[in-house]
Amino acid sequence: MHLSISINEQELVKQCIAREEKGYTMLYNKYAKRIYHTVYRVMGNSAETEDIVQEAFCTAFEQIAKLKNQNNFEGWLKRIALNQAISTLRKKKMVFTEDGQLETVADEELDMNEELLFQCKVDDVKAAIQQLPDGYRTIMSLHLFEDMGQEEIGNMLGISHTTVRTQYHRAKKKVFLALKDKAYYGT
Amino acid sequence: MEHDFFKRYVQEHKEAFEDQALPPNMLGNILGNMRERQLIQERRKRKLTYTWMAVAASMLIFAGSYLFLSQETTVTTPPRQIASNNKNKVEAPVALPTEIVSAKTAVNTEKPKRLVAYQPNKEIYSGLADSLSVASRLNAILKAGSLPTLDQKLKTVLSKVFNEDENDNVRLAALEVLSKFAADKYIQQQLTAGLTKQKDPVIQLELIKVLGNSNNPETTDKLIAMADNPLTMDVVKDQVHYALLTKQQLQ
Repeated sequence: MHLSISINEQELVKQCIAREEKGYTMLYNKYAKRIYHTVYRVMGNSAETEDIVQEAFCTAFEQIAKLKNQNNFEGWLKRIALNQAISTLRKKKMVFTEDGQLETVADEELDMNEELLFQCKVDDVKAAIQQLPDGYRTIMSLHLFEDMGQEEIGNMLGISHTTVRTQYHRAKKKVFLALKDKAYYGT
Repeated sequence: MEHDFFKRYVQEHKEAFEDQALPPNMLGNILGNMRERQLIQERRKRKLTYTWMAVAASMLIFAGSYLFLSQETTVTTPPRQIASNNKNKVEAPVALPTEIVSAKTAVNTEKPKRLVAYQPNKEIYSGLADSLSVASRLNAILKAGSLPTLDQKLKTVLSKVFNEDENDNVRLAALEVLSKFAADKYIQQQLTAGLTKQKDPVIQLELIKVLGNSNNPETTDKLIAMADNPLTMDVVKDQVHYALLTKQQLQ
């Protein structure tokens, strides 16, 4: 099954290289939703997300001949989209800073057990993540949803992996703090 | 970030996190943007091509005009080069060994030899024929003067110059060359004829000096005529008298 999907993807990439509209449409239908959500979680608003996703698809389709591993179109496209999202955030004067310069979360002990998180509604968690500052939200999204490691996130944002680690934990605390009163309503 | 419950929670509910619908017509926008960009790129390429074509055309025109001008200058400037080329062309058959060439071709080989012998005279003739430049006529006469002998053609041409050239200096120079070969019968005749033709006193004086020793009776008659001519200058008359007296003493 996986083999047939890979072959299909290769064929779609070849169609795109040949500038066939069918190839563009198929690849878009396959990956647009995932890429859209990836960017949306970083940007936090739909208007900018739409622009970035469109631009990322355009860039990827135009430069698809440069794609070395034709079975990894999604990874390549996601990297293009995330880079554009991060550079858009940077243009908005958002700086991914080292420790101490970001707003610090009160280091008070949270009495919430992490396992209680499973009793929260997804919408509440989503809302709590959305309310995070841009920097925290970006790091949290990349780690939780894109499954990226500290090193990789650090390289992408131009900060050290320890900063990524610290900021992730602070972001998590902030989310838990926001969910503190909602933990017992269940999912 | 190990044993992260939060991460586990997200993985388990990932689909619920991604429930937002895609904005409508995003694919249409993407394809439209791509078409637009492609058009812009093609226009840029065309612009670039036109620019390069314009540059290439102007370079071609420049190179062409440069070549044309340089060709023009090479044709007009060195006449010597053309002469030397002719020389080479003529000399080539001379190099052939005459023994090998058959009797029929022997006639042909003689012609270039004659041409080679005439080479310096050609320059003299062209110099003498240059009616616009006194200097080139004088130069040609000097060259003729350096020759050990004068052929008939050159004698005729030099005599004509001596009798008819409009410039006194040229006529004087021609006289100087001809006087070297005054023993020649033809030249003597021409010089004698010059006694009546030449009107410049300086030339007349030189001519009398050259012909003074001549035993030719025609020369003596002409000298007497000159002495009797009321238009002859006194200085010339004195020279004529001196020449006639010397002749009589010798006789």
